[in-house]
Amino acid sequence: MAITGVSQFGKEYCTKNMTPGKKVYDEKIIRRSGGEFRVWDPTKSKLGAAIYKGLRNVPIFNGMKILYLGISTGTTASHLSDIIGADGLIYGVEFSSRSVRDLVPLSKKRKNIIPILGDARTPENWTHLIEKVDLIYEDVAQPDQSDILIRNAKIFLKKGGSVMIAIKARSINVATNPMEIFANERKKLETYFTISDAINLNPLEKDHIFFVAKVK
Amino acid sequence: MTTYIAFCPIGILATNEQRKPVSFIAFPNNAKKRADEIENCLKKTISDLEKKIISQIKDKEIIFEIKKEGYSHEFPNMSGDYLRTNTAEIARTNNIVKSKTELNQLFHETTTELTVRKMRISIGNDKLLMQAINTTDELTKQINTMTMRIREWYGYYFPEIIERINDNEKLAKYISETLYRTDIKGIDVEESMGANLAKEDLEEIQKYAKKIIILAEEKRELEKYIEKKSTQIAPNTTQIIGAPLVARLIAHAGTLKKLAGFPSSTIQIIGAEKALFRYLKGSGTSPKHGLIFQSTFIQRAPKQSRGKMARTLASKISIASKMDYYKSSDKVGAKYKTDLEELLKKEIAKKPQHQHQGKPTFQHKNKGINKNKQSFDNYNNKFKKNKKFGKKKFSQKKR
Repeated sequence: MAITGVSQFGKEYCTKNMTPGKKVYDEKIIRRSGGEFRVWDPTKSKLGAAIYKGLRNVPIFNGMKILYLGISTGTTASHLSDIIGADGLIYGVEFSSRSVRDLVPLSKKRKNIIPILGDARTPENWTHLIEKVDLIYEDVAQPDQSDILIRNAKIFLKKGGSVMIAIKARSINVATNPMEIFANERKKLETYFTISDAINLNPLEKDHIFFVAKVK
Repeated sequence: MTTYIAFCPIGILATNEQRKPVSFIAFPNNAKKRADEIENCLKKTISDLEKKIISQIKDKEIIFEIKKEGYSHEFPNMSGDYLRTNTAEIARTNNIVKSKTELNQLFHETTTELTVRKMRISIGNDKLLMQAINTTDELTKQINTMTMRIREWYGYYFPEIIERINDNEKLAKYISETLYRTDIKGIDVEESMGANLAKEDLEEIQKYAKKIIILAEEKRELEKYIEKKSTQIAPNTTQIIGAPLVARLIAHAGTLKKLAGFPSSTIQIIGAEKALFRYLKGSGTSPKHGLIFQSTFIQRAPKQSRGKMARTLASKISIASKMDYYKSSDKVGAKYKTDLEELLKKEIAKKPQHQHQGKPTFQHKNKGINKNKQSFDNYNNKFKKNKKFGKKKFSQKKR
């Protein structure tokens, strides 16, 4: 099964570059007759890692709207931006002003990324800036990240929308066994979502799990 | 009847209880003006456009989505939900945009403008302080490595002076000012074992020495700047532990706001995270102090009461930083400092309760051979065990 907008060349997964000739991070570029493709680096992007580890059910399509919590400098977001195209929109929420400093220039090159300086934990402060979305992607590495996702999904997710979340066990508790934490978080998420895929990101990301889910 | 009011980059919308739009006011058609209006709407007071929509509604009970003076709020409310679901439709029916692409562009422009404005005010004094303290640390390192080099280099020519002058800056000053060997008390130039270097060789060394002096001066100025900034943003905390340590604590926490939010137990072990997590994972003991060890209160305290000192100091820092962040008019710094001094005096006066259980001295051995032999063996066994234990853990971690 192929993923929308993602092409495979040999072992590498790529997305078609929206802004030919320009790199976002120091990724490899492959030129084919179809155009220019940017190689998705699995060590720098958790969604990239999940795809390399066998995730095929990625709920992304052209022209969709995405709420990205914890967008950081936009490494993963740049590939999402390639996939959704000019009609789509990514609302990227980031708490660190240092990361947003790198994100704003990227958003000027890619008009489908919108930078928002705000805390994913308090949507009250930036609700007025966004519409309802088809997908929420969360990568915030906070102890209560599942609760943050559920709260945001209740407010911003369209009916039948899906979510993707990368959970970092070490930022929830350093002392407990990661497997225990994953089971716990799964239970929490299943109160509101039905999980379709769960992918352990070892060894690309240590003690991380990636969930793809849909609203019940 | 109740009316709900919410806004988004296209305008302000009011809906009734049945989730039906009652009234809509569009924002001006310009990214900057639109951002101004949104900033007005975010304030706690009612903005002009909001007044306009309230007058149109003629309803007594109004519920906003964010906190407003004199009105109740509910998050998320019905109007906001309607607005977020049907943004494209509302924008099209009110002739704000013609196509989907235009709407996307509108959102992009407005939000980027607002984010950039937020970025401009997000850099406070604490960030500047953080950069300054990190720069002084780097300068110290730089000066040390540069002086090491110059000691070797100038040592070819005049090794006696290198041994005589220990202070880095003084040596750099000597080299840059005198250049050639001069007689100093106890050193006879004629008997120097250094090589005779040409003028051009020496001049290169001199240039390097001048750079060291410049760096040292810069460092001193930076320290003054840190002192000034630190007393400006955290007067109470600075009075207790001094400017450099305040700067380090803020640098570690990120901002003064974050430092003020920490409980005192966190402040106590800031900078000892490695030891703390080692302890939490089950090996090692919990750390008594992190960065605050640099405070003289802890360094002057006798070993057995350092934990107590660290606890008290951390609690005082915690209170003082909260007062500094919320700009309290109370001046507690001096009082806390005297409190801590008194506690320190008490602790120093106390006689150590437990004797040090280490390797017995010869005196002990003479007093009772058997008893002490036993304790000596115990000590040895303990030491061996610990050593083994440590090694095992280390190798596990490495794997």
